Amino acid sequence: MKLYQMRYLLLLLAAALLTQFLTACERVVDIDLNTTSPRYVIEGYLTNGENPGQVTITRTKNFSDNNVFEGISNAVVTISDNAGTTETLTQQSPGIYTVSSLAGVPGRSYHMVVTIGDETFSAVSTMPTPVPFDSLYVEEVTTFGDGRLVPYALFNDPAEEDNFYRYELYINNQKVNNIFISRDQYNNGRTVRRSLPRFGDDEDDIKPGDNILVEMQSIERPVYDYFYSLNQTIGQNAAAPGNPVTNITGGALGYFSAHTVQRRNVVVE
Amino acid sequence: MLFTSTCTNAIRLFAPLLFCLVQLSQHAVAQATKYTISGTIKNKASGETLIGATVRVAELPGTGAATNEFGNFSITLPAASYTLLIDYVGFQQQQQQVNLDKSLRLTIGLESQSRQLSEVVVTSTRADQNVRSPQAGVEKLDMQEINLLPVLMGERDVLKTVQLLPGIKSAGEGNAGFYVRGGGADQNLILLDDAPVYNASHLLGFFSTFNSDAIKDVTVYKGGMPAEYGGRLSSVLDIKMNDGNNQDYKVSGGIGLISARLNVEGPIQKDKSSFLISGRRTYADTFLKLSGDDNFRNSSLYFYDLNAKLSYTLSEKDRLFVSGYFGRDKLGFRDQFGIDWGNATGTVRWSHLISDRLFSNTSFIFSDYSYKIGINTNNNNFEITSRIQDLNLKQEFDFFPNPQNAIKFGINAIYHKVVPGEISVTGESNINPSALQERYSLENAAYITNTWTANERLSLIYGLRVTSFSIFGKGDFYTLNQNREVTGFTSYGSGEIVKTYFNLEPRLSGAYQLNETSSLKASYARTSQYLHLLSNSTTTNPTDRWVPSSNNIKPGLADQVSLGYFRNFSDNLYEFGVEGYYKHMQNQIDYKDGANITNSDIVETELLFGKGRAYGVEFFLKKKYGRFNGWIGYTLSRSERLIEGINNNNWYAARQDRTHDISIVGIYQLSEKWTLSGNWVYNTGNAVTFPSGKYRVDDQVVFYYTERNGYRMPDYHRMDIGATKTLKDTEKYSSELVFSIYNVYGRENAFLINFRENEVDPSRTEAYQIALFKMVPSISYNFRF
Repeated sequence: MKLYQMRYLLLLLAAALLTQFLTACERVVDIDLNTTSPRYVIEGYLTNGENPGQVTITRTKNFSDNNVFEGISNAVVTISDNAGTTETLTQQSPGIYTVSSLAGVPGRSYHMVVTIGDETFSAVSTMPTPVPFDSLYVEEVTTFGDGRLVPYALFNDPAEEDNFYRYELYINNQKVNNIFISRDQYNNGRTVRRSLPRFGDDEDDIKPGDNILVEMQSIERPVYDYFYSLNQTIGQNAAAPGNPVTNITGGALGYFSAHTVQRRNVVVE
Repeated sequence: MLFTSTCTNAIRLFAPLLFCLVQLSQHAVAQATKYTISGTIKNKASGETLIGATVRVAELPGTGAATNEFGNFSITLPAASYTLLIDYVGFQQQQQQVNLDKSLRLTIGLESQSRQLSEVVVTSTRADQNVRSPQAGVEKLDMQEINLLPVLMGERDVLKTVQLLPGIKSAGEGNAGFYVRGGGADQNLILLDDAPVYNASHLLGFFSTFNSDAIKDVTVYKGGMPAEYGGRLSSVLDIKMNDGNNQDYKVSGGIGLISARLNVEGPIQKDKSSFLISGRRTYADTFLKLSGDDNFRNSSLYFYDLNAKLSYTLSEKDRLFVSGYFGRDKLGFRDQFGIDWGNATGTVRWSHLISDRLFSNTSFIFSDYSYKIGINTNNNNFEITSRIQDLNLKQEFDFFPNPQNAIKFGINAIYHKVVPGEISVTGESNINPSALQERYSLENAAYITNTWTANERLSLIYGLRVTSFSIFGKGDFYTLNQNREVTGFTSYGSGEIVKTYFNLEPRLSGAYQLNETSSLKASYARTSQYLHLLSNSTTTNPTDRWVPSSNNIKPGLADQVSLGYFRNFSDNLYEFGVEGYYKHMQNQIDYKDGANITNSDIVETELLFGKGRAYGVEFFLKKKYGRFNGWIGYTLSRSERLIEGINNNNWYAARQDRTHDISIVGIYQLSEKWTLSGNWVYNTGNAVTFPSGKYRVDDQVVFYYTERNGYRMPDYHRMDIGATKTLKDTEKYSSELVFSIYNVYGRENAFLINFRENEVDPSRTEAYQIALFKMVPSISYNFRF
């Protein structure tokens, strides 16, 4: 067998195994997809950080439509905590409702209610106790192919509770579109070095001089489950493709998360 | 403790039956004028026993027997002189005169037909077996036929050939499984010398674990499953290994594009004992070493198989077989990532002739499937292992009271141990060693079945299988509420029974001869399944997880009825069959939306249960002899599920639902030297879940799904061609070259279809497909001496 074929087979098998996408014999096809009646999409969060919280409301569109998702501006959005405070969010721009006074406090539960016309959607989320984000560093890793610079979040996982984390990665103030989540199922109570590799083309690689910013969030289980299943939905190779598991009742897509945030940044040497 | 008590229970259950049988046999003896002819039929040249060879009595048309899976037969007749006609396809008929004034034991050796006469024989044992046999829904493959068909990369493959038969469908490229009559890929029992093979694929499904050099016989039951088989809902693929030549040493082998094979067999003591060792290894990875690229040079990708068998004739009445299989796949990327997986099976079987009419087979069977993933990165070094292991004891009797009845009964006890996943740390690591809980269970069965030839026209196989399945500790077992959320758990001690299920499985299959050349066949079978395979993706992976039934996972049940019409034309030159079936299934498993199977500690919470129905009609036309032979198979079918919580509680198509499925196979002997072959397959695409809309969340476009399996993959079709050139063919030495082209017209069959943002215009979304193999030519060289 020719070498290139073998290479191809290896790549193919490795790829299939790692449930990555294959790039061989790829072609755009025309699939006649059904049209759907629109469903509301609510993306809400409340934090203990500088940006206290925001609820974004949009709608699903047909597959053949363009990717401009207009905000829903006729909604009434409130968030109340279990300390007796309720705030009605103000609409900043169409479909984007922001928190101005409500404080995000670890341990408190928050109740989001969204009313659009005669439909009501609600969700409850409890802000977990923050786990200190000790440091952020960048290291060269040769996992597949040549060495690449990969950021690492370093922290000590507390042994006494189940912890769930989410990380947002920014390179030169540009958010990276990968979902990074983790839990302490296999490393409870240990020092965690969580790698945040960016998957993409070589030109997207981190270079010396880049400004790396990581926001580490302590999230609760239902939010972890949402992002886990969102990742599967995006990956399109799940056993049962479906919509992510939402914590919002009332029939909307999306999630509501009360989480803690901590940011660290580093300039790559 | 548990094990023995169950066995004794089973024996107690069977004691009255045994008594009846003994009575029956004594009754037969009491008539005093009857004697029994029993014996073994062998291939004279190799000493290999022949399965399903027929012994007919020339003087008594319609009276006869067939050899069982160990080559033994028994027939009881009134004292007289008879002419026995012994047939096995591909062999010369032998006639034997017997003067039956006492019971006789015969060992008959058949001589194979000369090459010119045999042409390319594609058929089962007796020319009209398909019409006569009371067994419905059965297919038997000829190894010679398997060897002539074109296959991917020239690797002969039993499993791939089976998928060309009607009612049996390939799960697709890059997918190890196959679907039988609308059942899932995990609903097929694959047996190698009685040992279940839990993952019958190499290299993620491109090749099967069965090295055809070592295989003697392949039988598939897709309906009317005989009572001696159980544990899976849809089908049994029963594969028997060669015993080994007890006359001469033989070496055969081959070199193909990706693998080399070697098979050595011969007598240990002539006529008494033999051995067989058959090995296969892919060597493609040696090419990787030549690569200029470090990454390829330090990667590994290969598999190997080893089959071995020892056969001993201990005495006139006792034979002992020891057979084993060991195979492994290894895939590694430098020293950073590696996965290896494979099966190991072992069978020790003692065949004993208690009398000339009662045969006993005692087997001890071991089966193991495991995988190991090794990861070594800068600060994490660990291994994940998982396995399923069976210890299996089987005692079976064949009893031949008279020519009208052939009774088989036995017991079977299997101890299953499932290790879902264990993490062990191999170096510096931030990961804690941990393990998902092991699961222990015991699957017992007792069965009895009778093949009854009522008269010239009617014959029946009827039987009953009684099964039980107990899952026991040590372990924690969870209680779930209606939404399948955990509400609590109970800890069970070692050996403490958590739950036991019982099932009665009646089996019936019969044929009614309409005339000399045609028959009607009907069957009913209930089957149960206690082990379930969960897969985290739409393709099969070595890491797919076997899960036993438990307090939260009920055993699957299936009831299948079938009705068929079979007819042969032109003196059995053509064989035609049409068979319809309806199958009702209970406790079928499907996944919740977005289920996480791999590292869920309580996997039951990710599953939903409901019922299924599958129905269809299969057409089959085959030309059996001549320079040109082959077949056309067509299946029209449907397979659906109704599961609360999926598809808004409406019926939906199972993934394996395919409306049309066609296979055309042809083999043509062009000349003494050249044999050509080809096959064409077509099927409706699998049912698949596609998005019906999209939205934005987390700054990304995400697709919106509305129904399960509401779409279809594009139709699949493909043609393969092959040619075999005989270079030399003598008694002492033969060799051949085999050429084949897989997917000769380069159809880009969709392996998967995904959706993404258009690269040029990210404001638009598009669908794209990936095809695996366009056109794959191959060449291999085989020899035998």
